[in-house]
Amino acid sequence: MSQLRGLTALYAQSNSFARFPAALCELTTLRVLSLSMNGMRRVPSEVARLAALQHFDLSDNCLSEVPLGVCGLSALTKLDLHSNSVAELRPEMSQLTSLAHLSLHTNCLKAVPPALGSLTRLTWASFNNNQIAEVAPELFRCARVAGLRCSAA
Amino acid sequence: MRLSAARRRCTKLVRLALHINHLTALPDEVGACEALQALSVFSNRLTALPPALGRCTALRELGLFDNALASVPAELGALTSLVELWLFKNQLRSLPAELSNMRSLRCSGLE
Repeated sequence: MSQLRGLTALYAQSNSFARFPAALCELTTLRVLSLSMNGMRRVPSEVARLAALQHFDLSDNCLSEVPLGVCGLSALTKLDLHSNSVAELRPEMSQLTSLAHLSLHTNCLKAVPPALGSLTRLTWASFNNNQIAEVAPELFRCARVAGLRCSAA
Repeated sequence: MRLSAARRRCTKLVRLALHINHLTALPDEVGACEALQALSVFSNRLTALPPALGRCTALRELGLFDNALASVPAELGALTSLVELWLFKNQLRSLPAELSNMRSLRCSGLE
């Protein structure tokens, strides 16, 4: 697999990859990767090597958390995590600054945390069919972006 | 040394789905969503809506059904782009006269 140096899209949904195939982490030209409906429980942190990835579909698996490696994919514009067992969203999701489309519906979420307020390019978000009792105001507020710039006066 | 002012980036949310959850309230900050065209908060436990929701003037679809709303803020009358408003299965006894400003409304879902 790791010899497929020019591969930009891999659709491997509806298989039985209970474990994330490690070889995929070497396919650094991938822009689209679908592993939906595989019964997958975890995704290794090495997935962060897929620096060109724009659309990652991990929906309909058995993930109990947002994989940390996914939070390192700064080119990601579309992330599908719906229909898993995610109970909490990690603060590192604030690093997904290119994200425009986020699907998290049908999980076990209790809250939408302030970290998602950093996703200033988000245009489409689904959190329906969870157990959410609280949405952080930061999701809506005009986020202050630290535009700190120092220059010689 | 010169320190530039912090820039502000406003939310660009166009569609937000929060239906079928356990929400009892929406934050006032929802009013900052100037680009929001569709908001679904049906099948929650909302007892009131923030008047600031009336600032989301790009809204075209607003799903509020199956909550515990006893009233609708008059400020929603400012949502003049609204095409579909779903209000059924709440505890409403009256509606503010301002809702007649919703000139685009085709469907109120008040059955």
